[in-house]
Amino acid sequence: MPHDQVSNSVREKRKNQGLTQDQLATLVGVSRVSIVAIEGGRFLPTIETALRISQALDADLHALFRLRGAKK
Amino acid sequence: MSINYIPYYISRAAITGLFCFGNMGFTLQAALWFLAIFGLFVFYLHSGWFPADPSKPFFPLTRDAFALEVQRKALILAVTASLMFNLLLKLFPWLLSYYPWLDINMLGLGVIIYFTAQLYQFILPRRKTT
Repeated sequence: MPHDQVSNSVREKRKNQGLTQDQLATLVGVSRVSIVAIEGGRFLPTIETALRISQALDADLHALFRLRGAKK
Repeated sequence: MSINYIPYYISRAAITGLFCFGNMGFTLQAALWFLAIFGLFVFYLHSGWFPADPSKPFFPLTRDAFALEVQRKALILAVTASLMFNLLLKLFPWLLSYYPWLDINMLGLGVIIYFTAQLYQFILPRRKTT
């Protein structure tokens, strides 16, 4: 389940928005455990979920998820 | 407990009550089974393992992509482990005379592995929470 090639900054963006994992999960339409797993890099979300997270956090998808070693 | 899910609580309590008291009569054992099974229904709803949709009060729980992945891995593990266990006993039947406790139901073993593997995967992500 871990995805070493993709890093994410969902936790930082969520905290910046003042949202809890529960609130983000409700906005995205997934379980709280899914958000925990995504933030911890244990689960790579589907394109749809990634886009919903990006929408909920009002952040660009590339700012949330990026390939390790890729240029910003 | 949430007021949105009252139909869920009532329907699960009715089904559980029918199953427990219908099979065992109005006994203490039936009451304890009722509490345990109904407690699991309530726990599942509020565990955070599955997204709950209040607009579907009777069937609010769904499996998202993560839950499906958890289920898929648990299923593969349960089937593989059960078959391997069965193969082991077929190849080395004398094991049973040394270890009689190995004579267990393969289906039961698979079910236990399936639920344990799911539980493990659902609990695992919480360790990383900050």
